[in-house]
Amino acid sequence: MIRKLGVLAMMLVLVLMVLGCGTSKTGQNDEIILGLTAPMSGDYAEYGNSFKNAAELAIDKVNKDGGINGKKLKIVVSDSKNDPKEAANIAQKYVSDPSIMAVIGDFTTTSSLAGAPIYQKGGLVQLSPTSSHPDFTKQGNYIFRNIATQAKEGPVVAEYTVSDLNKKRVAIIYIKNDWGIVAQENYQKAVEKLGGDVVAVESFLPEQGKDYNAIITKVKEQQPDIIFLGMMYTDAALMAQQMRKQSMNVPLIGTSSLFSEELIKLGGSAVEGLYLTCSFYPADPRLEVQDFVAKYQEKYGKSPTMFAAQAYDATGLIIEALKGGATDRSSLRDKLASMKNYPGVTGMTSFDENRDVDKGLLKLMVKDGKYTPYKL
Amino acid sequence: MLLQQIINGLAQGSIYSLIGIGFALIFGVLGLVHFAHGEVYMLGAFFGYILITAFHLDVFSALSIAIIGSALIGIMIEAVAFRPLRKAPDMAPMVCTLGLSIVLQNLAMLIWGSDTKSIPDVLESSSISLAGAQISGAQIIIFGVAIALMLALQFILYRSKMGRAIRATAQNKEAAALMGVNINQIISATFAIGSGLGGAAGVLVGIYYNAFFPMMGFMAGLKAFTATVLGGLTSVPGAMVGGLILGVVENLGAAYISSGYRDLIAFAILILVLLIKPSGIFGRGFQGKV
Amino acid sequence: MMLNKFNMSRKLIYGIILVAVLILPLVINNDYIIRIAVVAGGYIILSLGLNLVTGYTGQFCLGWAAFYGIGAYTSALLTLKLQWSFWLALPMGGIVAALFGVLLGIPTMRLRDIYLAITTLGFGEIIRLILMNWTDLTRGAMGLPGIPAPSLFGTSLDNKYFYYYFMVVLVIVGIGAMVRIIDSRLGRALVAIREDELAAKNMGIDTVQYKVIAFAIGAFYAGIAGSFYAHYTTFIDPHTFSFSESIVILAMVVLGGMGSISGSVVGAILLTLLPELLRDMAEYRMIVYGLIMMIVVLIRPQGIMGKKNDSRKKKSKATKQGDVTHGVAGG
Repeated sequence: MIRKLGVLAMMLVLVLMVLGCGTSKTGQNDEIILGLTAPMSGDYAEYGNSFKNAAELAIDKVNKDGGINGKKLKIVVSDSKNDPKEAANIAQKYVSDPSIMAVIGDFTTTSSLAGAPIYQKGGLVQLSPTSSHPDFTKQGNYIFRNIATQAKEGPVVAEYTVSDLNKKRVAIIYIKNDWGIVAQENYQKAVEKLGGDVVAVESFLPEQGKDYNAIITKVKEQQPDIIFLGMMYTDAALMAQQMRKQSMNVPLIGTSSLFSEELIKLGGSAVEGLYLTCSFYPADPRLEVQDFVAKYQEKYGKSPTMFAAQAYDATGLIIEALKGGATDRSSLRDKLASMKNYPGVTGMTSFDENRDVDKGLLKLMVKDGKYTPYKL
Repeated sequence: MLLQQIINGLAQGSIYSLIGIGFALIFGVLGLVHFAHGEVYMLGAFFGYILITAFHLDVFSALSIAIIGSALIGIMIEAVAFRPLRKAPDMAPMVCTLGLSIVLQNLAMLIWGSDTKSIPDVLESSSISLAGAQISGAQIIIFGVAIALMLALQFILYRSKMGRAIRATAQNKEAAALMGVNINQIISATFAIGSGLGGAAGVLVGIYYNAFFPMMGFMAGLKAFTATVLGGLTSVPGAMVGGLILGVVENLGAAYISSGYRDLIAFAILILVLLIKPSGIFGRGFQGKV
Repeated sequence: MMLNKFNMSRKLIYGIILVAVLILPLVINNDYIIRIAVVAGGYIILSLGLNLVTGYTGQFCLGWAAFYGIGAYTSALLTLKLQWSFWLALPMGGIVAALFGVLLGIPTMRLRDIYLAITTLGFGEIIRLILMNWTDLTRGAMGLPGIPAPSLFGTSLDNKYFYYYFMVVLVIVGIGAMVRIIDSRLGRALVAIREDELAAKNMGIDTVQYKVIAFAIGAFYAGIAGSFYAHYTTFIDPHTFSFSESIVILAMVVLGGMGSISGSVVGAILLTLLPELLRDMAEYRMIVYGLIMMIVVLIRPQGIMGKKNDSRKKKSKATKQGDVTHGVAGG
């Protein structure tokens, strides 16, 4: 008898749970809701948090000026944990919530790809600030990104390496996730096209732990003139340090994924002289950049990374579309797709017919513990 | 390059050893796997980080205090996740510590943020050259401290009354109880020692790689686990040797086969050992077979 | 007479549940809830398989996500690269996973308890690492996007009703088959092995054969779940099938109650719904998840639907305790 009651009670609990799941409608009529999907916990939590910070900053700015047509903007944050399963569930949740107008995210392409078919089918814009995998925007016309793909960045870094810095013996170390693989492929192809010689290619898996000594020793054997670091800034800083500890003082070069105050903070003297390309440069004299950097620093106590800048612009782009008269999900998509010359902190942004963007890239280097533009 | 890779491996391996000893100790006495041990290591590392950056202690003081802090955490974990489940099915404490590791990882993230922290150069960046290879000052210190701690452990186990009690409890709990050993106390003590060692490993790793982040316990825990198995799940010296071997093989594998497959090599070793000689290098014979 | 009454009300309860499940998508017009229900269904199948191996046969397995992944990748590659039909790829995913189950089962049959657990952990990691590194076959970290949706006689079945009801069918068949298995000679032999392997052997039960069969059947379930998942989400990558995933499935089985079919169902549903309910709590979500895992285990270690009094516990402790000092003298 007790067992039977127990079963009934359990069923009741489960039913309540199921109903509890879907019934949270996140908005009221005088609010415009945006969704954010990003890794807020786990390995990539710091990047997800920078998305959240940046998006909230952008929204605060608009709300302070009275919102859009009198309506305040609000953002709902969901933790995708860099897990495609989660990203897919979140996508469905957002699609099923009629008050959500557009979604910013995800951080990695794998999470973004998992959600893409659902966003596309549900007619909800997904604008990723950082997914650079070539297949991403092919998923449908509701899928956008505002970062230059590695297909565009790779050749620029290669030019920097071979033409500007005149380094011919190139070694590549990259992180073996979807971003890193694409970065390595594009960079290597471009270097070889310019006549450079790729003498070593090594990779590591994200969860492998932070001991890179084996790779460093291996690369050292090949005596490269320069080493390309295809990874995020944290790993790059650690790798640079471990290299110096092994008395390897070869110059380092990388993409915008390295750009961050953390790189210099963590890397210290090891990253002095490091070269990189970037679409975002805090010392850029343009008003919107200075404003963004100052406000971000003030509110969060640190300088924004490229990822934060991208997310800030992504949010800004959607806000611009809303200001331009978008009233529902479908008109928002249309307004976004036809967006041209939006003055973002990461440069002038226009979407092409594939909902990709072309960004101007700056060549920077680390000098005296600060980022400065590279001078020929 | 070979020598350099071996040196890299020994340095990395001694860290696996330190964590692994904690596992071996706990497993030897309780017969259970402690899935949150990696998180104790992580917390120890953060203790060290805070002590050095906020309180400006030198490395060795920070290390000592961190060891004590980790030991205390170990005692708490035993009281919360193991003691109440003594009569429960075996999987229960394992699932409990799994849950605990999730809680600790995320708690750390909440408190300290998920980004990687570092300390401006604490350990000397000097290095000595040996037959074409470099041994950094940091590597020597790590290896040295690890050996020192392990010797200290052996001393405790063999030359102290508590050590004798621990060994007795590991052999046969009921008999030890009958002989007047306070089982609860001994188990707590075992956890304290094992966790203290884990915490020490955390501080050393944090300083060596200059990276402190909440997820650091996860992979390290798994690898240390492998090291312990390699050496014989219940054998402390086995864990030490197992850790070193694992470190060296991993680095050699990364160097000569492929760096991407490095973890795979570690796990392949794990399985091979378990299939061929499950009791590991030093373990007792009867334990793996039906 | 009392027995009859009990059975009747049991049947009534199940009947009500069945009806509720069948009319869910028609009554609740929320795609998100339907999706969660489908995902929960997949985990039910995964849990049933693991429960057979761990709960009924007593073989601790910490690498369950490997079979899940093998099923998913097999099915995905067959439809993507070889243009197989979903209807053939789905069972094939299960079969290939079962083959790997045999592959894992045979060499590990001698191992017990913690040694088996670690071996399965290693196996799980090895499969994941192979999926990550064998880029020519699996595209590694880039994953496999664009997995085609199932279709029948030319019409695409890519709509929520199909997925939902197909999952319902899979779950019902899965539960039904599992009940039959447990109730058969095979099932009884498995329980005998769990309770006392040596005695079972002496009674003439070919423990090796039965353990391998258990792994094969369990892995088949996991493979089917994986195949379905691949076509449902249309994108898979190795990250999905990690050790963390194995832990989640194990937690479902343990919390639900090992050796209990209804336990696996309850555990799967509970741990699928929990993170969704806690979604609003953002950064506290995972902490609460972990705490709930701990609390349920502490309050009711045998699991929600599990039976108390596990005779396994006392016996196995004696054989597992070891000598910490062994090896110093080299002995």
